[in-house]
Amino acid sequence: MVDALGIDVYKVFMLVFGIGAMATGFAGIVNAPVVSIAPDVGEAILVQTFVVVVIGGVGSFPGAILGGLIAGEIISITSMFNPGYAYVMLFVAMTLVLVLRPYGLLGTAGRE
Amino acid sequence: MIKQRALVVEALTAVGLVAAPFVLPGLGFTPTTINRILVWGMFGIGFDILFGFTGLLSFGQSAFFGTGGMVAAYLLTVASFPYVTAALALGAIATSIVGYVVGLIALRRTGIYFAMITVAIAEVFFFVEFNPLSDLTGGENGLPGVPPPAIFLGFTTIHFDSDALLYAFLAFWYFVGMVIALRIVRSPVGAVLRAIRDNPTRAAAVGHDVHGYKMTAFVVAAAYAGFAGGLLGLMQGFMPPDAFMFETSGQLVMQTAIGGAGTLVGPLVGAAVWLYLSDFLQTTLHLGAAWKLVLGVIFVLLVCFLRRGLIGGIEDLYRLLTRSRKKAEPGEDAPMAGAAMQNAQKAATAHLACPPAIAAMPARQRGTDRRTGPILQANRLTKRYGGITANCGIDFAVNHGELRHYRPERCRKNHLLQDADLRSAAQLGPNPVRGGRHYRHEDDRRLPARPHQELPDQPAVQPIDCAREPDHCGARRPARQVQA
Repeated sequence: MVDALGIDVYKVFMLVFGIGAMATGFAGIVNAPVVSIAPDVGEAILVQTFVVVVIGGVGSFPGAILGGLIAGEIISITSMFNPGYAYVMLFVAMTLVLVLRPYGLLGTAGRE
Repeated sequence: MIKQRALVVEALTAVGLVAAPFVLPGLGFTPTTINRILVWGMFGIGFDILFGFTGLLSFGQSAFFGTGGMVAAYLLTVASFPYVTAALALGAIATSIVGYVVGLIALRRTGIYFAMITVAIAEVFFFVEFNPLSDLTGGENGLPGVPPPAIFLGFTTIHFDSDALLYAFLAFWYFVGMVIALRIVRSPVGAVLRAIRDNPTRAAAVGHDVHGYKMTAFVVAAAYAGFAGGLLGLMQGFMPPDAFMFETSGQLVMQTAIGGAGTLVGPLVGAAVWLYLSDFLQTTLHLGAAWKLVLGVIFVLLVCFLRRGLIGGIEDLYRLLTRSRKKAEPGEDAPMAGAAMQNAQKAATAHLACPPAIAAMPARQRGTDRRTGPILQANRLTKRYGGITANCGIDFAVNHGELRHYRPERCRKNHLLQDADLRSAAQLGPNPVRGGRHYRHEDDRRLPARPHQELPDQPAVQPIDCAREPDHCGARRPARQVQA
């Protein structure tokens, strides 16, 4: 449909992908002094990022910040009681959000 | 798609399984690799029913693989349960129950959200297995000491303790799993599953209980995964905790994509490619951990150029060859062939190309529904894309219990009727439709709430002439406004 309106969808997708990669790279630069850099540093953060975005809401920038805050708090607070359950609780929270508000806390209802 | 000819696939599978231990070692497969391929193939059959036939992409199959394996391994080691096959079956049953519970949560959503929920649940399983349940599952050590399968035949007991005997055991179960899966896929239920994959809205509009069928596929996939997990423990003599890792699910999805989704044997082929490359690149070429680099390149190339996987590519090639031969023959024999001849030829080709389709399971009708007459009526519908009028002046009415085919299949661009009317037909229609809360589409507001109410004559937003007002066309214009 957007294609029919005369927009080069492929080019837009490419641009968006590039912008996303740039932002991620910048996050990596900012992250580098905080943690020790290793080849698998991206793999470790992949799943957590995913959880943060899903909790906050896909397509919402404030949601990503809120999601990050919530995810961090869940891990820290659970670790106070029992570190073994930190990630269990994180993913339970994500499951709950997905079931109750599948578009995230601050996301808007879009297509399924 | 699987050919419908009776027993051909079963026979080919059996021949392949018998021939494999004699042929594959010559190509550089070690006996352990061959056994491992069978376990992954078994795991993949269930996933293919879920993904290839029902269209549900789950990234959480590792949860079921691990659960089945852990249950079977726990029974055989800690609980000293003596019957291996029974332990496998119990593992599969336990996994089906777990799969049902997970399905209750995950199947409430579709598409990307479904995939996300399955990832989340699989991660919960992984971390639960690792910490709270580590007394039962051995934590990061796994469960060692799983005995090899043994079958008591009355006069003697066969211990499947060598690689070759273990292969026979695994191959037997793979064959059984394949026969059951083919039976499911070729049944009326299988036809409904494919209908849900191709067009879930339509399947619901026709009256099928989409949620129920999805749940069936999900539980079947879970049971296969659990059984395969049990086989993994038996094969290695040790149940590793990595079965629960996200990587397991990812590997399964990639193997299915390499082999070809919707073919049932695809995952086995994909597993063979994956494990062979893993062995070859690491042992022979000494690439070490860099072997995944090569694998990644191969995977991207396959997905770009062979979108239906290796099996899909082979099927396409076969179809191309047989079809070109069919076309060439009448051209030489009778260049001036009459219409009758052509028709007969066409019928013959069509018959060969499309074997008799299986009728889908009939939808159940609600006994309490007594509605008659038109349930949906619209006059003078027009659809414009920018300045282009795609459809103009369409009148139609749908009576109670009537099926209307508005658009040719495979034509996904024409959303005029698919989006709006099938949804509302599904809501007003004669048959129970589960998950009615999904129909929250904005277009529904403009649809008649009751029968006989007409749509507005004019589109809500006037189409803009692109030639006269170029500023209004293009990126600045939200797509939604042009919907008439």
